[in-house]
This record gives sequence, structure tokens and C-alpha cells, in this order.
Amino acid sequence: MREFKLVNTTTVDAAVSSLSQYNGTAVIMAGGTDLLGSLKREILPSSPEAVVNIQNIPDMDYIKEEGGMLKIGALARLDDIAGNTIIKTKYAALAQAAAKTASPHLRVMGTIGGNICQQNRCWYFRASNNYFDCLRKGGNLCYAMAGGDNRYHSIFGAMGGCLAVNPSDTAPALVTLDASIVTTKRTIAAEEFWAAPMMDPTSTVLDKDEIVTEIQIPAFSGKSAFVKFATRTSIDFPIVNCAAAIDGSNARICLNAVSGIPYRATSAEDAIKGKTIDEANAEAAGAAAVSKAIAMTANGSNPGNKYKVQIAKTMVKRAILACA
Amino acid sequence: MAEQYRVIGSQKLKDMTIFSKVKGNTGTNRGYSSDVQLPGMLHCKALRSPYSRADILSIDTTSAEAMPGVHLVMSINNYPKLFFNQLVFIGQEIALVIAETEEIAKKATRLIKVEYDVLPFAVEPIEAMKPDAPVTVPVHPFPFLEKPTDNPNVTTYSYAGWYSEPNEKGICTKRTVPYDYHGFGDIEQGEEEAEVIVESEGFSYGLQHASIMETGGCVADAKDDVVDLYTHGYWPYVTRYLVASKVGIPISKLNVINYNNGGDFGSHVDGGQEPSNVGPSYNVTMVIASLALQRPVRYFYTPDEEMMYRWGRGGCGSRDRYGFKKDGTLVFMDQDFYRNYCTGDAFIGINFSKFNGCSSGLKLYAHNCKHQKLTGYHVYTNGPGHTGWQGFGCPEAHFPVNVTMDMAAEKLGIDPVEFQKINHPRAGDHWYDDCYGWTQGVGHWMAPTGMDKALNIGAEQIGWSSWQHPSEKTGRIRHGIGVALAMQNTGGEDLYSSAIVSLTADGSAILYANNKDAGQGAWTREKAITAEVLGIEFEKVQVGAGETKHLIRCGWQLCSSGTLTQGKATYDACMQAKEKLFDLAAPKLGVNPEDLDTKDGVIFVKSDESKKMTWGQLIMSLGPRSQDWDIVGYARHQVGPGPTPQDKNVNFISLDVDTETGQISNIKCSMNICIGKAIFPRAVEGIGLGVHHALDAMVGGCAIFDPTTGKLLNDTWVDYTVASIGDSEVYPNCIEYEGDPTHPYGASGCGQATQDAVAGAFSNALYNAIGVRMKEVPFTPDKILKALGKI
Amino acid sequence: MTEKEKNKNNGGISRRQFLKDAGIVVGSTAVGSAFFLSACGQEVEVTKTVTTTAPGTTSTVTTTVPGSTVTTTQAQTETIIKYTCPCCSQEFDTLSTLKSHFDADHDEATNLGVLMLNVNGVEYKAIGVRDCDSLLDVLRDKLALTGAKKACDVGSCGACTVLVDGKPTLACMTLAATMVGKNILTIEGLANGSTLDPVQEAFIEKRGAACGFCTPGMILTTKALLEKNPTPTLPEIKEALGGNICRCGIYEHIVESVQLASEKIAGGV
Repeated sequence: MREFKLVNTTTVDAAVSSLSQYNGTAVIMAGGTDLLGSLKREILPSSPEAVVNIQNIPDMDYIKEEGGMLKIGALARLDDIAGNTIIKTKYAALAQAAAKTASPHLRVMGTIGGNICQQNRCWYFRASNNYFDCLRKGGNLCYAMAGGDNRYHSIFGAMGGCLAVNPSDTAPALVTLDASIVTTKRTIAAEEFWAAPMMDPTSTVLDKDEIVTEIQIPAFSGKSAFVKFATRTSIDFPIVNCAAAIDGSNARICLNAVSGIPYRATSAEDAIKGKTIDEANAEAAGAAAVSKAIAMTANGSNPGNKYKVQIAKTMVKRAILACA
Repeated sequence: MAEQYRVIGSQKLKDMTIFSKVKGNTGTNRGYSSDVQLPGMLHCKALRSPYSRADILSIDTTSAEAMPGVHLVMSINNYPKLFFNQLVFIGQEIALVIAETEEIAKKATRLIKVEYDVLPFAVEPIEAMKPDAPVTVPVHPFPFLEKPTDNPNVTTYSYAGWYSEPNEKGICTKRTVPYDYHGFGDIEQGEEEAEVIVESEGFSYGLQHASIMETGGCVADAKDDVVDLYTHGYWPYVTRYLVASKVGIPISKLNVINYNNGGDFGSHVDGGQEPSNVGPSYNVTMVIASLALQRPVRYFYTPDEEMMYRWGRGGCGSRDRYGFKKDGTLVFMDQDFYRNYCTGDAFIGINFSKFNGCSSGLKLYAHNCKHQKLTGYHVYTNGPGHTGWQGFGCPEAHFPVNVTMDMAAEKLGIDPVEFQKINHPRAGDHWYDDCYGWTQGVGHWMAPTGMDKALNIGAEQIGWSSWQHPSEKTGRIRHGIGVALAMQNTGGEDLYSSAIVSLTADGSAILYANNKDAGQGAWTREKAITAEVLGIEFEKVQVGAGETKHLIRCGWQLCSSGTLTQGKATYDACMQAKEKLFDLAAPKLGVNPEDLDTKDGVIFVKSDESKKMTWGQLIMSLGPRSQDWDIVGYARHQVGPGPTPQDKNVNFISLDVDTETGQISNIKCSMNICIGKAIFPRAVEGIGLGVHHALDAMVGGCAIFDPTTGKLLNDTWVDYTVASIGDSEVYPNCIEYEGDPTHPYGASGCGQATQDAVAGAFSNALYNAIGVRMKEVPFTPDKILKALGKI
Repeated sequence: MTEKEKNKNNGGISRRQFLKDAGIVVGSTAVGSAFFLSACGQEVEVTKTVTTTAPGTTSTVTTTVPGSTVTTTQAQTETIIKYTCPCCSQEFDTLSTLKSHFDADHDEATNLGVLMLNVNGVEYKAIGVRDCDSLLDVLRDKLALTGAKKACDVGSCGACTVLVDGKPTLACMTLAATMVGKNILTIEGLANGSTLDPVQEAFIEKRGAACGFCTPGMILTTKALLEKNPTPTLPEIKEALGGNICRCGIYEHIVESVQLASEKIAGGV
């Protein structure tokens, strides 16, 4: 890890002001569970001058119902979200997503704000010592596309020329629950929050001096669920995950780890809206969800990711069935 | 009739090393070598090759040397015998910087200027085997042990063993070398005798990491010309010999210190050639550095660096052809087997192509089969450093054998468990031992194996009575069960170990036996044997081990050989001490030595227990001031020809396949270890539980390389998926049986065969679930879905 | 290290080299830098002042050739070198005397990275801690508390688990500097003299350790689990230990150890 200056802050304003002061050469740290891994491995061509520690900002880890909304402070721990009775009962997809994120220790340390801001994953992007100076990092090439191994990568093509996927488990749950992300500058609909900008390692639309402060979820009276496909029963990032929220004739379905940003499966929504939740209808919705998939083909030792299309289809089906 | 033992075999035996482990083993340099801290300790960091294949044209270390805090930079410039200018894998060491702190050393490595000639490479064996493939490893480490083929990247071995001239018992009395293949009998004759032929081909087993918890490395601490080397690994005396000879110092001046290992499983044997045959050994370089700088020097790999080495498995092709009688009797076996050897095996500095024969499943079936032939090939690739990883080649070689036998059972219409009962190894079978045949290895035959019993117990545990043919299965989730056998050497002929036991006046004993304990329970096993033979309580025995300078050479704790070699040496030493005790006490008690016995430090006459004396009374009587004297036994046990116990197990696996996603779940394994007699049962079960780290390779934990650069892509435990607690369930059973003459308690060894049967049983279970023979480990969702026709 | 330290070796000739090779102009003062390594291993930059006196102004040397009546008087230039302590501005004649003073008298200097950590109820002073140092590295390398182990170093194995204010925390993914004011419990803090914690005893009885490297992490995670949930079910145990890898694979024995620990604690042991 290259050295940096740790700036401890106890207010949001101080954190923003530090970020501005460092003018793009500082990053914030909440739980640090994504950031420190990347810094240790020196995955980027340059390292931040400063790390702005926001862990000690008080009163930012709340979970409360207020004004017809569920409000979650950005520093709320994933473990607390997973175990919260209100969320488990009324916003089940989010509780289930938080419960399936990473490992128990990481859920105690990690925050929802950090989880939704984590960088995308691709083993070329994340190789240590910037071994592959890929497009995302300002280089010339997306290695996953250009003859590399892309078995875990996007099944919906590249975004900004990059095939890396957004790995967050909570993100698709938030999209389906129609969440809004409140920052120090604005309120953004969850669906608009993520981006895969060209030549940029970040995964959201946030400005360099903008911090997420709160997540708001409108009161939800329907059923929601989250499913995750991974190799192991713990620790793993998703190979594919899916959240669904169905309320009467409204359906919101969102896949993740299949694209550079969480993939709202509107075709699947159209296919299931207002219909009986049964095997056949859910199956059809699953097929619709992947109708626009562009799977990577096998090439030598690279098996490609056609299998992910099949899995994504199935995850959509199962998330829907879990809302019955 | 089973004897009643006082100490050995108890489930209540406490592992003597666990007391400090539950406290973290802190505050001592007699724990894990990676925890060692010495005043003034310097730190070493390496500059490593970024290329899969490149030649170094020049290297300039002057800027690094000039950095404040840097004490020494080692490279081919100043240590030409230790470094290589032909780089053959990403991560290979180019230079070592020794500095005051790790940070300074790391910064200094960035100042080293290297000019490379980057060359074409092949990291996948299929690429390396192509006729127009680039030469992957220009200089093979031990060419005299190899026989070339017409592809420079593929070799077979020059020391194969053909066993011939069987006597009336079927034991071969002659071993003919050199040959192109291992085996015995006459395959052509076998082909004529066989009534049913079964063939298979194309099995592969991805490279798997020997991911143990503690990374490799050492601390070398030289004071004048005497060196303490805190290291890791299973054979400190080999390390001592090899490191001393490479450094050029007398063996007597090098003390190898190794108390606890954070795992091993054969992967960190660290004999001075580690961690690869094409890089500088950290043990050798740090001893040299410490001698030069007269300060302790530490060089331990980071987890990232550890992922550049210690890879095993890598089966990359096979062809099996077996012949049977219609009743299931096995007649002949003919196998070709290919292994991805990467840049060569890092193992005591000897290329393991010589020992490919040991890594064959063929040896499992010498009971009925009188004609066997194995031709093994090594494929050199620019993959990461290769090592022995529990099984030492057997898991990937047993795999095609165990599946082909399952195919045969199906073709012959015989239940797989019954089929194994026909052909499995048992007492009296010829032991096809080429591996550790340092001499001729022809005079070995199997001791009882207990495999029948294991097959019955395992079948019951896994629910074999519910077995159905895959064609009868329906539903989204398909359940499958499979069985496979494993057998591997418990060391071999010529291995020896030593023990010294000292009986003291207060009725306690100290056993000096520097046999390694990496968590498999070796020291506790020896402690139990000592207590048992001497008739004293377990807690009255202390074990002295850890440093070579204090103890005469003890055997390797590799190849499941501890019980066989060290266990017998300990037993013999204790028996000798007891004999001396009785010889000394007999005249004082007015009887003959054979009339005496001892219990809890009291020597008594068997027919009249009132006639007795304590060890203390005996010792005090030996001289005017003899209270501190001891009675000493010493023994050296060497394995010779004759019956051999082997490390054997029977593995049943059950699992569920989700036919919509290809996910395998609900994985259960009944692991039946044919141990004969478990001296430390809890530890034997613990070894059996090691199946967990074989199962993770089944579902995903294998190396993935970038095709364009050869770089390992899944180089952390996030992306290289090592088994977590919920991923599978393992049920280890100690299968005990009588009649093993190789050990006084009838105990055979266990350990290295743990993973051998897993891939076979797993694939057989998958076949039972979905009706498709899965031949490529790992059995990932994409392969399952393809097999099911879903993609 | 300060910003400029990072840049000091950018190409060209270093200031040190310059000073070494530069000609010293008579009757002048040259100010440059010198460096030494402090006791905690940090590179400390100090000011080096080199003053030469003009001939005849300060000293002369008189020589008499033996056997001769000739006396010559020669003016000498004198070179005076001073090293200035960056903390208290005291001047020293040699770099080594300045280093000795610095190591002895200035361990509170903020650029030395002194960090106060409460570990196992003891206030530790860790010296030479950089902002980027992990809690794991500080515990092991600065405080000699080697119970927490480094196995994966990226938060995916749990071998470095410690309890921070009672919560299981991965020390490798925690910056030491963020731990001021927290109560840290490591494996070394569990036993009370020769009295072991019931969790430790349970692991001994059920042999929940083989090589033992994962054991501190397993035990502390178990301790936190049993404090939150004294009678966990089997699935709850497996979930709680889901982030603790055991490469020896003795998971079933570890589960039995946790179950026994739960019984011991419930039984008031």
C-alpha cells in the first residue's frame, strides 16, 4: 500500500471540504472493506494522497421509518440492515441481500454506503500493481474483451468499452424497492446512481467531492425477495444475483453482476406484471430478462459466459417465485 | 481379539500442541516461524518477473543499493549460481533486497533496472503440447531423470520400473530399469485373457493451490559462522543438508528450527530448493545474507507471492484401457497419463518425473490384475511454481482410474460397491512400488487393508441402499452418490527415523524425536506411544522436538510415514529403555528381568506385586549422587522389504445437482480411513476432514490464467475459492481392523491419500445424478449446463 | 513520511549527493540535508550546515621545521559542520549524536507516528505507525502480539479476526490509526493467567485446532457469537463462522468445539 494521509472527520461538511481541498486526489473511507483491498494491491496507476475517514461521523447509521419512507443512514452496517425487523418484514429483498453479502465479519465492518459505491469487479481491473492498464484505468484496452478470460463478466455487452460488472448485492434490491440515494448535493433515483464511465475506475455518478448520506425507500407493501448465485456459501461475490419486488400489478426486477451497472430487467417486469406468480409465468419472465443478452463466446481456455445467461434467467424466475 | 490400551486409541487424548495454539502461540520464537521476531531483524523483498517467459539482458541494482536502509541486493550479478537469467513464469525472483524495513526493501526493488527480452510462452498444457509451441522451459532442472519426446515441452521418465519374475505368491522379485513405462506382467497376454474391455480418455484436473494458512519463508539468524534457520516444512534434516551444501557451510553449523507449521500437506517441504526449481531458495539466500550481514534476516512471502508458487494437480490428459472377465475380475490395466508440470517440481531438488509412477491409481488394483502398464508424461508450461500438494500427483492420477472402474461396473452390470469388493487391494497383493524404490522395491506386499469393512461402513453412511441408475432420475434437483478408492505410500523402503527416550527418577519420560508436527498430531502420537509402552500417564511424557541441533536425525513427516517410521522408532526406543530398567532392577528384586513389569513409574514383579521399587529408587541406587541420572533407550527404525501398510481410504460422496443452474450443493462425503489402529483417533479424523480442501477444487478452486499474458487471474482467496465451512459436510471414520504386522499396534499411516479418491467419487456421483461422465475438474456450472444440454 | 520525502529521489542528483560532491566555497555557509534512520525505522531529514571560515580570520597554525630556525605561520580554513534537530533545533556536531538525542528525547514527535492503542485492557504505545498501516501489521510488528495471523491479507479468511468493542473485525482490513479509543481484544487477552477462557478450553477438549493458524480467529469469532447468541443452532454456527477459513479442513471439529463452548458457558463454567 502506498502511503497516504489519513484525514479524520466527524462531520459530513468537514469530509466534503477535505475532498474538495484535495481536488480529486482523496477518497473517502467508511468500512474500508473495498477500498483497502484495492489500495493494498495497488490496482490503480496512482494512489490517493489522502483517505478521508468518515467512520466517526455520528448519527449516520440509523434505520428508521419516517415520513412514509424507510430511511437508512449511509453508515448503517450491513449486519444491522440484515437483522433489522422492519427491513426483514417489509423490505425483505434488502435484508436478504445484506445478509448474503460477503462474510459475517465484513457485514459487521461494511456499510450500505460503501456497498453501493464499491468499484466494479474484473480480474484485469483488479490485478495487483496495475498489471493490466485497462480502459477503466485510462489505458487503451479492455482485456476481458480482447482475447482475455471473461467468464465472470458482463452478459449484456460492454459499458463505456468495459466488460466489468457491478458486484453489489444490495444494489439490485435498492433498485427494485425504488430507493433514492441522498447525497451532499442531490437526491438520485437508485436506477440512475450507477454508471460505468469511460476511463474511470469509479462505479457511480458521484462527483469527486460528493458523499452519500442516506438511502430512502418509499413505503412498500408488496413482497420482495433476493437470490444470489455464487460458488461458495459464504464470502463470494455474486456470479449473478437478482432482486424482485412485486406489489399488486407492479413489478420491479433487477439483476446484478451481469453488467457494468445493475440491470433493471424491464422486459421481465412487463412479462410478469399483473400475472399470477407461477412457474410458467416466472419462467417466461426469466427468458424475457435475458432476451437482450450478448454472451461472450468460448475461446481456448476461456469458457465464455453463456452459462451466466442461463443462470440469470433462472435467478429472475426464482426471485419472482419467492415473491408469491 | 482387541487389546485394551491404556493411552493409545483414546478419543480423549489431548493434542499437546493445542494449548499454545488456542492462545495464538504468542511471545515465543518457538512457535510459527512467521511469528519469529529478533532484535535487529532485517527484511527481504523480491523483484519478480512480470513476464511468463523472458530472458534478462541486463540488471542494474546500483540505485537500489544506494538507498538508505538497504544492506544487500542479491541478483545474478553477485550471486550467479542462485539466480537465473532465463525467466519462465510470472513471479520468478529476479533480485532480493534486504533492508531495515519491509517498506524500504519494497521501495528499493522499484529502483532496480532490468532489461528484458520478452519471449513467447505457453501456460496451458494444451498449448505447450502443440507441435509449433514455443519452448516453455529451456533448461529442465534435472534432465538426467527424463526421457525427451519429440516435443521439447513433453517428457517421460528415464527411471521407470518394470517389475518382473513374480514368485509363487505373485510378488515380483526383480525390477528392470530403465523403461519407458511402469508396470508388471504382460499386457498382450492380458488383452487375450480379457472378456470385456472398457476405455476412457481425456481426464483433466486443473491446477490447484496448496493454500495453507501460513505463507512460506524463513528467518535466518547467523552469529559468526553458526546459523539458526527458522523455517517451515516436514523434513528439517533434508533442509539442513541441502541448505548447508548449497551455502557451502558445514552441516554442523546449521540449526534448522521448526516448532509449529501453519499447515503443510507436502507443499512447503522447503528442502533448500523451494519454492521452485527455477528460483533462489529463500532458505539458502537468507542464510547467505545473514552470514554476510551478521544480522537476522526475515523473508516471508506475502499471500500474493504465495499464490505464485505451491501449485499442484494439473492432470491434463489421459487414456485408460482396462480388461475384465465377465464376472468383474480385473485382468489388465493400461494407462497413459499427462501432467502439467509447470516449470518443474520443487521437491528436495529432485524432479518428480521419476516418481510419476507413484502417482497412479493403477496400484490400487493389483489384487486380481496381473498385467499393468503406466506411461506418464510431464508437460512443461510457464505456469506458476509446482509442488507436492497432498497426494503428490495421486489425486489427478487416481481420477481417471476411479471413473473408468465405475464405467466398468456399469458396463458389466455390477453394483459399484460390489465391484470394488471384487477387485480392491488386500493382504498379500503385490505392492507396485516404484516411487520410493530407492533400492529395488520389489519385495513388498500388502498388509491387510480393511477396505471391505470401509466399503460397508461408507455405503451405509451415504445411503447406498437408495442407489438408482441416473436414467431413473427426474426432477429439477438430481441426487447422486459415488464411490472411489485411494491408496498411496506410507513412505517406503529405506525410510528411517530415530528416537531417544530418557526415563527420569520421578517416573516421567522425555522423548527426543524431532519428527515434524504441522497439525496432524505427530508429537501427540509419539507421546501416546511412549506413555503406552512405559506404562505411565500421558501427561508424564514430554516430547523434545523442534531444533536439529538438539536431536539426531529423524525421518520425514511426509508421505504418511510418521506412524510407520517414527512410531516404530519411538516404540523400539521405549522398549529398549524398559529392558534396561528391568535389567537393572531384576537383581535388586531378586528375579529375572522377564518377571518384571512397570506401571506409573513403579517396577513390580508380575507374580507378586508387593515386590516393587519405583524408578526413583532404582535410579538413586545406581550411584552415590545419582538422583539426576536417567535410563536411556535409543532406536533407529528402518523400513525394509516385506509387508507394507499403505495409506488407504474409501470415499463415498453424495451431492445434489440443480439442473437449471448447474450448481452442485448438499455435498456430503463419507471418508473412511483404513487406519488399522488409530493411535490418536481425533487426529486421524482431523486428517480425514481434510477432504474439505479437495472438495473446493471440485466446484471451482482451480487456477485461471489470462491467455494473453499467462498471468494468474484468480490470485487471492476472494477469487480462488477455498472451502468455507458451509460448503460441504465430511464424515471421517477410522476403520480399524487387525492383522497389520508392520507396526506394533497395527497402525498404518494416513494423510497424503486424503484427496486421492475425491475427484473420482465426485465425478461418479455426478454421473449418478445426471447421467454424464464429467471428466474435467473443476465441475463448474458452465460444464454441468453444457453436459445437460442447457447451453 | 512527508510529501517531499516521496519526491526526493526523482531522477537527477539527490541533495545528499550534491552536498557530498559540491565544492565548499571558502568563507561561506552551505545549508543542505542529511538523513538518518530513527530507532523506529523512519527516515528523518535534518538540516546540515557547513560553514567555512576565511583564511586568517579564525585560526592559524605555526610550524617549526626541526633543526631549523624558520617559523612559518599559515592561516587555516576551518570547516564547521552542524546538524540541527528538526524537533527542538538543538545543534549537534555529528549525525550519530543527533540520532541518539532524537531517539531518546523525541518519541512524541508527531512525524514518528505514535499511536496509542488499548489492547486487552493495556494501553500500548506503538511507534512509527504510518497512516496506511493495518491494525494487523501494527499488532504483530510493533506490539509483538502475533496471535492474530496474516493468511490472505484481503479480508477473505478471518485469520486476523480481533474483537473491536466486542465486534469481530478483520484486522488486515482496518487501519490502525482508526482504532484510537477502541477496546481491542486479541487472542492474547482471553486467558487470565493460567485460567483459560471456556471457548479456549472447549477447543482443546474437542481438538478444534490442527495446525492452529486459523484458531485465534475461530476462537474470537466464536466468543463474539456466543455473547450475542449463547445457544446457536448448527446453521447459526456455520453462518457465524462463514468468514473463517480453515485450510486443514477440520470444520466439523471446530463446530463441535463451539457447541461444547456454548454448553460450558451456559453451565456457568
